Amino acid sequence: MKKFIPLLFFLIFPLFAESIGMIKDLYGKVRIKRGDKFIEASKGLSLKEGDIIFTDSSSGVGVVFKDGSLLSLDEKSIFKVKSYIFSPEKEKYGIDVKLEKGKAAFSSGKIGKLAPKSFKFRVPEGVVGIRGTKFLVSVNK
Amino acid sequence: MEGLWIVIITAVLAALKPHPKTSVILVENDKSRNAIVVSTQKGEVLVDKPYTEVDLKDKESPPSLPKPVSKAEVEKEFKNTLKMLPPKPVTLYLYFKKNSVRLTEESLEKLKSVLSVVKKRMPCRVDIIGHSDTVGDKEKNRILSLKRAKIIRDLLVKEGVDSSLLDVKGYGENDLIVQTADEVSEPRNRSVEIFIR
Repeated sequence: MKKFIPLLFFLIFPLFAESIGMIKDLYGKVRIKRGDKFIEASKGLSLKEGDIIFTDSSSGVGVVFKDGSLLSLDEKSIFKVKSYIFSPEKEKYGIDVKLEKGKAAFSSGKIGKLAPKSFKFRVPEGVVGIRGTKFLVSVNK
Repeated sequence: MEGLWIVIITAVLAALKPHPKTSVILVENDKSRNAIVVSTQKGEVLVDKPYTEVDLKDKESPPSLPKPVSKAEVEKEFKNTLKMLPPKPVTLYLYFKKNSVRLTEESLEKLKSVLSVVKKRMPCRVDIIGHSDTVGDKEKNRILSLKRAKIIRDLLVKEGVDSSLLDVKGYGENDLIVQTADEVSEPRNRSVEIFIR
């Protein structure tokens, strides 16, 4: 029996993975792919690192992340949270997300302020990043 | 420095129709004048003015030059997307008496409005972060700040807020709301910060 314990721990562990945000609002049909499973999204559902959000036609979703970043997706969109770190106690921050398909609006939160360089919003052709004031000044000169 | 709660929004951006191309539009930026950088393997473009669009053709081509777009056009094209963008989170503060876990009279009054904001924002999550001033021992202040935060949590739970929505932390004197030297009695640092998102 003993040898099953570490395995069991491994299986249970993802359930305790930290919440990185939540579904604030939605209409139509929105699904979350977590690991191999699809979860039907509902208002108030917690999101985890690695989640992929799918919106059907005539559907949309609004998400609030832990650092106050905001996201919305229009219909027929696919959005992946590749990694998300918001740990003010350890001063560790990072957002790496990707819009595979569809339309999105994103408003950056505390991470965009505290660690703009750790922010990556990917699209199929490239990356959108944030630059702080100082960098901007040096570029303009 | 105002600490961790400091605000929000550097950029609202939107990407559309990734096949055959993606458009990124900066919709708004804050007073601190942050900017977005759109890049591919072949180059990058800085966008710092609201209502400016950059198009991406493919990985192997540099981004287009930024071009202005009309607000009306963006609001039409992204009507559903913008409508679903959640409201910005709210930060509220409650203040405590010196070296105490008792709220000041004014903050006791304000407690009701905290509760009403939380209820209005449902479904939501709330981070309750305790702070202290710099008088006395650091570790004691950390414990005091955590006690303060837990008291606010308990009050909200008593009023019917689900405890699983609440996250409690105590930063003590490590994240001062108002920067002071050590051993300074500062009422604004004896606080609990409530981040409602």
